[in-house]
Amino acid sequence: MRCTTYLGVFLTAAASVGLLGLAPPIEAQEPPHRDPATETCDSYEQDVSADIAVLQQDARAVTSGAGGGAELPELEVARHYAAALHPQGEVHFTVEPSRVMLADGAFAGHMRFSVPVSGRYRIALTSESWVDVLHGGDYLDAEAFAGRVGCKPLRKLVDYKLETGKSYVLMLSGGSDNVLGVAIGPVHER
Amino acid sequence: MRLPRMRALALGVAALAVAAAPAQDEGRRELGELLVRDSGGAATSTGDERRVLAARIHGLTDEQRTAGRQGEAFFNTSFIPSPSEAIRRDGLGPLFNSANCRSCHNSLGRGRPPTSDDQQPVALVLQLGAPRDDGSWGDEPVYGPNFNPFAISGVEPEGAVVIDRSPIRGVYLDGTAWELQKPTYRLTELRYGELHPLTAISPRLAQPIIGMGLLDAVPEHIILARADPDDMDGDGISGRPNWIVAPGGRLRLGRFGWKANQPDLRAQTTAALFAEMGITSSDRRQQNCTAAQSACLAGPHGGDPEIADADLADLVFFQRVLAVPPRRGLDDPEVIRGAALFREAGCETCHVPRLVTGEVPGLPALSFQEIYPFTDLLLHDMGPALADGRPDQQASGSEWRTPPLWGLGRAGDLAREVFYLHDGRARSLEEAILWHGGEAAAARAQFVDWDKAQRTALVKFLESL
Repeated sequence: MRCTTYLGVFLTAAASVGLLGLAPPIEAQEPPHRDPATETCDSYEQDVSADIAVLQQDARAVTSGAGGGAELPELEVARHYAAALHPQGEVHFTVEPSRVMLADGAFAGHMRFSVPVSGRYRIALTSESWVDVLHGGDYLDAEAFAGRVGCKPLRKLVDYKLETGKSYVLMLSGGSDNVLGVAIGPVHER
Repeated sequence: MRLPRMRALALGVAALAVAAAPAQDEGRRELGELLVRDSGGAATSTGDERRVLAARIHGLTDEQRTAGRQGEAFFNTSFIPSPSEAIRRDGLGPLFNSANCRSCHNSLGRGRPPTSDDQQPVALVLQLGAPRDDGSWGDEPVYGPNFNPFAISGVEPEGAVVIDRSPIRGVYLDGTAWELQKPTYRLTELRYGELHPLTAISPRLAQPIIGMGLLDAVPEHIILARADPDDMDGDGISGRPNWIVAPGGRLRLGRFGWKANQPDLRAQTTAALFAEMGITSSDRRQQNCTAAQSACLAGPHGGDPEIADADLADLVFFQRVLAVPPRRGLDDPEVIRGAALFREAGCETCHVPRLVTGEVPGLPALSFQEIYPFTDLLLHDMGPALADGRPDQQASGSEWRTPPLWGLGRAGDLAREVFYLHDGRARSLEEAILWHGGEAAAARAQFVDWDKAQRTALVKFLESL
C-alpha cells in the first residue's frame, strides 16, 4: 500500500476496527488494511450499483429507538434513511450486540423493518457500525459482508436471508457517527 | 450346519467389527495423551459450537464475568487519536500497526499476513533489531522495536512494507510435488532516514489467544524440567528457556510470543499495546517514538497512562479466562493413525502434549489442571529456512518457541484462508511441516518419506486439535 494522506492512513487503520461486518455462525473476519485510494466502490466484489443508487437519493430522517420498550421506527425497503443514533451508553439493547464493544464515544440504536418478498437482502450503511439483525430475540446469520473505506456513500454492507411476513429489528452498535445513512434492499447477484 | 450365505457373511462382518473395536480401543489407549478431548481440562469450553472460541471458563463469579466482558469490549474496540471525548480509549499512536486487538487476533483466532500488494501488514508485525556497539542486540535505533506503517494525522508513518515471495519446490518420496513460498521483507518509503545497516527484520504473526490463562499458570519448574540446552540426552532436541530481564534486573522465564520473549500475559499485552497500537500503560509509560521521530514525540497523547490500570486489568483478565475448545474427530480411525504417526516422527518431543498448571487464586478452572497444549514453551533451533537472524533476549536468530497446537483444527472455522508459522508463510498444515528444519529436520524427513495416506492422516490428527 502507498498511503498518500495522513487522514487516509488513519481511515485505513479504522477499517480494522471490527465494524466491517458480521458473518455468524463464524464471527466476522477483519479485512486487512488497504489503501483507500484502491478501495473504491468498484472494488466491491458484489454488485452494489442499486445500493449506491438508493444511498444517493435524498434521505428521510428517522430517530432510532434507544430500547427499553420505546417504539421503533419502521424502515421501508429501497429507501435511504438518515438514522439518528444515541450515545451507546444510553441505549438499552433488546439483545446484547453480537460483538461486545465499549460504549465510550460510540453510537447505537434500533429500527424495525420487514420485506415484501422472501429472499436475500442487504443492509447498506454510509459509515461504520456493527450490524445485528434480530428476529424473535435471536441473531440472524449473515450471508455476506464487505466494507470499503474509500467508497462513498457505501461504507459497509451485510447480507441476510429474510422472509416475508416477519418483523425484523436492525440493531446498530459501536458506530462512529451519531447519524448514518441506512438502506435495505434486495441483493442483486452480479 | 451350513449357514445361509448372506447370514454367514453378516456374522463374519460383525465378528470383524467386534475384533476391530478392541484393537482400535487398544490403539487409543496406547496413544493416551495424544487423544484427550478436553485439551484445557476443566477450562475446556462447552456449549454453543458457534461461540466455542469466545467461551469463558466455568465457575466465574458475577464480578469476574463483568470484568471479562469489559475486557472483551476493550479487545474489540478501536483506540482513537487524542483529543477525544472517548477518554477511555483515546491515545492511539502516534505510530501504530493496528487500532485494536481484534483486528490482529482475528475473531480470537490467528492473524493473516497481507495477501496482495495493496495491503500493508496489520496482524503481521515486523519487529526490528540491530547490534549495539557492545555486540548485544537492541531495538533499531531510528525506527524502534517494530515497524509502524500507520500513523495518526500530522505524523508521518514509518514507511511501507513490501513482501516478495519466491517458490521453493520439492518432491515427496512417493513422487508427489510440493511448493512453498519463501517471503522476503523490504521496508520502503522510509520517512525517518536510513535503517541501521545491520538491521534484522523479524516478522511475527498474531497468534490465537485461547488458553493463554492456562499457559500462564504452568509453573516454571514444569517447563524447565524439559529443558535440555546442551542436548545431554543426545536425541538431537535441545529445548532452551528464554530468560527475560525484567524491570529491576530480575530474570524471568519467557513463555509468550514467537520467541518466548514475554514472561506473562500482562507483559505480552502491554508490549502489544505499546509497540503495535501506541498505547501507554502503567507498565510502559514511554511513547513508542524514537529520538529521530520528533513529531511522534510531540504528538497528541491520551493521558498518562493512556489505558487506565483497571481497564488494562480487565483486558488481561478477558484473555486469561478464555476457554480452550474441545477436540473433534477423536473416534476417526484416520485421526488415531495420525496420532501414531505424530509419535513415530517424534513431533511430541517438542510439541509436548501434556502440561499441568499450578494454582491460580480465584480461578479454580485454571488451577491444577492437566492440559494438552502440545508445546513445551521452550526455544528450539528450527534451521536456516525459518531463521530471522535477529536475536531476541536469549533466543538466537534461528530459535523459536514451540507454538501450542491446541485449537489448530478450529482455524479453518474462522477464515476462508488460514496461514501458519511465525509469519504466515505456510498456507496449509502440510506446508508448515515442510518448513520445519534444524532440530525438527528428522521429523520433517519422515513426513517427506511417507506416502500420501500417511501424510493425510497426520494432517487429520492436527486438525483434530
